[in-house]
Amino acid sequence: MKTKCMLLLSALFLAGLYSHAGNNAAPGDTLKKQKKEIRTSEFPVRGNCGQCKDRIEKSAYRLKGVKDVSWDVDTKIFTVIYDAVKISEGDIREAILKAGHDVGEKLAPDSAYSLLPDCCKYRDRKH
Amino acid sequence: MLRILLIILLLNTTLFAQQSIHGMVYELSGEKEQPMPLANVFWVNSSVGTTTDSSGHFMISSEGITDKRLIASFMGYENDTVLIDRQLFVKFRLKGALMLKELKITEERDATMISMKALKTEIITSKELRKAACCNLGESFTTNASVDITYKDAVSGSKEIQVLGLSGSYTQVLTENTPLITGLGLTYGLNSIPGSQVDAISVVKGPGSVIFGHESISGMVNVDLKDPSKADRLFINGYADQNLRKEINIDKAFRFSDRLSMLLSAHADHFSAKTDLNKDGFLDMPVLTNINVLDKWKFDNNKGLFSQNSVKYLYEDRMGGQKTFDYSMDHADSSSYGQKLLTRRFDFYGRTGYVIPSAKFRSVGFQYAAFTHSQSGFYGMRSYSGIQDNIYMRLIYNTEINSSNSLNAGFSYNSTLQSEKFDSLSINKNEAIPGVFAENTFRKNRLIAFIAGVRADDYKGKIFITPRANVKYSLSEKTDLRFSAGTGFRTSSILSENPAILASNRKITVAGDLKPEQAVNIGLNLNHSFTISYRKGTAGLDLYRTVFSNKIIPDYDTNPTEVVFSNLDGKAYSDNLQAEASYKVFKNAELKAAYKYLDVYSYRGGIKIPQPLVSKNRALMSFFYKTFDDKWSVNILAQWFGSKRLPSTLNNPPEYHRPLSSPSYATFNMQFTRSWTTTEVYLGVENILDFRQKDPIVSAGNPYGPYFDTSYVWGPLEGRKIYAGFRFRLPYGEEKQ
Repeated sequence: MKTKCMLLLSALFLAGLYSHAGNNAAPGDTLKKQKKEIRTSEFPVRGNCGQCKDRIEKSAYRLKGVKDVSWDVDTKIFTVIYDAVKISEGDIREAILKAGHDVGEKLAPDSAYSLLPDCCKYRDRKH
Repeated sequence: MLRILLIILLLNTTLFAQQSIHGMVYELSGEKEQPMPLANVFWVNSSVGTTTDSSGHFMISSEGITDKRLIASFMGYENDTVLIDRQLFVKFRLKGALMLKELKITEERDATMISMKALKTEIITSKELRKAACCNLGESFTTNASVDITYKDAVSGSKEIQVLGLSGSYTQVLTENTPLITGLGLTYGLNSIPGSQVDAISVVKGPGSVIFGHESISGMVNVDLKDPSKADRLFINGYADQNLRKEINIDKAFRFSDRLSMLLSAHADHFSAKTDLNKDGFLDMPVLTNINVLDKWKFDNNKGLFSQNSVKYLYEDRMGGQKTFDYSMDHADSSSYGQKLLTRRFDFYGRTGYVIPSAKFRSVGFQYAAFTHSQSGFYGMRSYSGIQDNIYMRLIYNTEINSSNSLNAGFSYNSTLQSEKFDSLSINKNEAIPGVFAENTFRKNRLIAFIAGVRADDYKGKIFITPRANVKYSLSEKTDLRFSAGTGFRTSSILSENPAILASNRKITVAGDLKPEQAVNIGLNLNHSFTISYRKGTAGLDLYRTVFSNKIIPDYDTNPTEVVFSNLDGKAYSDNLQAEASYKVFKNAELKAAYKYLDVYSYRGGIKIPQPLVSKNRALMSFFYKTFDDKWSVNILAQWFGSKRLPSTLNNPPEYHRPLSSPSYATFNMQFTRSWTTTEVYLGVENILDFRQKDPIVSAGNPYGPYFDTSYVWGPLEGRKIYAGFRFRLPYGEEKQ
């Protein structure tokens, strides 16, 4: 009984894992889910420190359709993997601007920038 | 002519400098640097890149490069960037991900992680601890599958940790690498460390490293307390539950300079409600008052001299027994059963280290501790008193032999003076164990690493040799295989390790001269990390076997009114399998599941006897969700415990018979947390289904009869518990980056 119970639990857990794996393995499967269009974009985002990294990454990662994000503190390059059917690169850039970080040539609104903690005030220091 | 030659030569070198840059990439581990092979070196915004050779050296062309930033990177390490101006030689230092996380503020670390070292180490950080309102160390392991927490008896409320299904005494619990919880402290030692003082807990299954001693057999747990130089300026935690258990922690940190800092931490815990939900006449939980004060100093001159010293005071008054007992009494009489234990303890411990300035890394570290522990009280009409004085010292010399070998060697000295009196029985332990040890850590690249060590300890004129080895081999970038083997030995303290006997009327018999307990432990682990649908997960499998050549097993079975301690005649075993997996089921939610199989047994007269009160099967599942704005989080924990064998009661009169095994059961806990900038409020429920063991005490109606026994505890004694609390933190100004 107990072993069965355990097996069931683990089976459920594994089933959970593999259902995700299935989605990933067959992006062209149109039977259940609409088509996915996975894209990777890279663009520069300004910021200074680990705290900035957290904020920048989170502001994009929380968006629906965004799969994975990373911002490199040294190169200032932001890399995002997203489903272009659900979200556009423009929306992602917009979200980062709203969080207070300049994206490419575009400046973040002053109202958002002013809320950043001191360590993240990238416009005020030579970096 | 000469002039032309010189010009050509100069021209040549400048040209060369513009085209090719040499350098080294080092891996920074601790304060050591090791050359790092196969690291990537490339120019920013270009496709020009190279990798380092086996000695960590690289050469890269700068021809046609406009952005002069050169980057070195390696999977799992932080990138390092250097702006190339005119230099021909560049040195990169890459910090390991684990180390990197340790350097950052605690909040940024993962909740639990497995380190990249040869020794498999699970690290539970304060982030994980905050998922449940843990009051002390004994309650800190609820979400960890490797460690079990069990009650020892139904009166005193003492708990113990079990690793690999072996009783807590086979796991060495270190406080900042120092063995403070030993001897008498084993009974309530886990309660002596408040959860909010803890910064991180490392759990190693198997004997671990020889540096920390010979005592660990099934595991080693190291508890790191908050770092004074990184702690919040002020931290307050308050907690209360429906049974009016109240708790408060106040931690204040002082940074006197960038070299000297201090943490003052006070903890008080009070529980006075006399509840008896199972109506057996006994309190479900003892009433208690616990006061704990820690003063920790840290000095670091940032030039290699480091010293950290702590003093700690503990006062605890706990009382349990029948509800009718008059708890103002200082002894019990035959009219009712009462139990009291008053503990006072004073610790001083610390470590001082110095890094010897030289080309190669060399350091000397001295670790020291002294404590005195006294406890006195009574269990029914039997009085109890115990006192223990310890001195511990360890000197370690660490040196880098070459780029891939690092040696730790030194000596240790541990002296224990311990005496216990229980009724007419008196047990004394007077030992001084000097020892020497040496351990080599080999690490060539990320593929293979091993730690091999040996120690020799002189126990009462006899030399005990303790060898231990750990090997890690990376099957791929995402899969690590580890193997460990080692021995351990320890001397037992039968009363403090088996407090259930004190709260029973069993006759205690010590058969012969008890020899040190000795065991061999081997283990195999496989850890794999994966990414599915861009979300990360881990899976792990552990196999362990412990073989005791001597083990002091209390025999509760032969005669239910007696307990016999004797040396092992034959062999005792513990076999363990553990499978674990975790996966981010949503972008901000993690699911963890674990299953554990334990077979702990010994042979008595050729018959296999499973160890009582250990679940053969256990499962755990936890789910953690946090909103993206960090304001709300929820943690749900489900635990399932399989049947346990119970000590035999067949020789008891029929009314005191107990089943031979316990039923299996499950418990569920849940906690919500709401966070603001400086404050966090949490609300939770433990044991949601209110599952309780109905009759934990045998012969509860006749506590002075021969069959009275409180050791048949297999399930929760406390019912559903609703609690709430807050955490307030006032951080120091932002760190300079």
